[in-house]
Amino acid sequence: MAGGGPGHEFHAWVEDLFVQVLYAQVLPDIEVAIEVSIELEGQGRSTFGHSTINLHTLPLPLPGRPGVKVAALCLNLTPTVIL
Amino acid sequence: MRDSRVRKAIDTAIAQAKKRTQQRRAFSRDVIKLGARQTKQKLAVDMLSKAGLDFEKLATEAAEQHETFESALRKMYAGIKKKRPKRKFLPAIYTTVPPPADATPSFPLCIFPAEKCSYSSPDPTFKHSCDASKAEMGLSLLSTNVGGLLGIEATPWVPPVTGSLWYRIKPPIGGTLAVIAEVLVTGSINVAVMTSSDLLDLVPSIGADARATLVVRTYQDGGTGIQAASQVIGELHRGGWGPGP
Repeated sequence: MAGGGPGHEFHAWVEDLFVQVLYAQVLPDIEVAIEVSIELEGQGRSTFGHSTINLHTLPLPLPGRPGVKVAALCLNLTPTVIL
Repeated sequence: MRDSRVRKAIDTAIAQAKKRTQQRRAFSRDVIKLGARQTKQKLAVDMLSKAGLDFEKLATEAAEQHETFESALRKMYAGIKKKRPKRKFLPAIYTTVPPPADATPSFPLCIFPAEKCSYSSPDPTFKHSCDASKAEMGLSLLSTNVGGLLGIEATPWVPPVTGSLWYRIKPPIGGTLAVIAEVLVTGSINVAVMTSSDLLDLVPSIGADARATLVVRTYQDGGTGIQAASQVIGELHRGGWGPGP
């Protein structure tokens, strides 16, 4: 989503489901730590005028709704087979 | 007699046109000077005066515009109704009980809740919440009024905020571990850029970007190291430049 001139851009998620899959190679009997993370980034540039960046900010309270919820982390392991 | 009136009118029109051209050139010169001197706020105020704009009025308008923007966002949020079909998550299909840490896991399996929660934030005033027992995080990144009212040559960048939920497993055999993270996201992402002046809006002077990314990583020390997969779940750009890096 993009806009060319001054103005606002807005996008809201309301319990939107995102599924991310990672196929990782693992060795046996060594513990694997799994991290599920959300990264928020923002930047503004201004030579004249001002810009505002908000990401899930407090002026928009959402009682009873967490920002990010990992509903489940599911795993399956397929052995490496050399025929 | 008539000719002289016509000539006078033409001369007056030419004089006015010349004056307007001179004003436009002076304004353009000031814009170039502004770029060269960068941080000279006074020059910007002078420039506004030459352009017939009142600095204090602009400041008031900017504040009002900001309030209007936030109020409009609140209304938009209130208008969003939860219209979602009932979902079935993978745990409904797979085994749902997470294995004890020392037990040999039986695949496929789903893990809930998380074992640990962490977040990194550049600013202690940002409010975050994190609850591993519910596998929930509330994150916030805010940069407002970037560059101040006039924002001359301000190129601020807010360090990213990252929130993570952690899980652990010991694979009994080597192979390909498929990690499927089902993540529900509620919140908003928005950017606003403004000059408070129609005249200044003609100059491509401001821009803002914001992005939210979902990342899944595995770490196996002494094994396969770090592996990751990610997707951008929200990205916005507004203003006179292209999207940022």
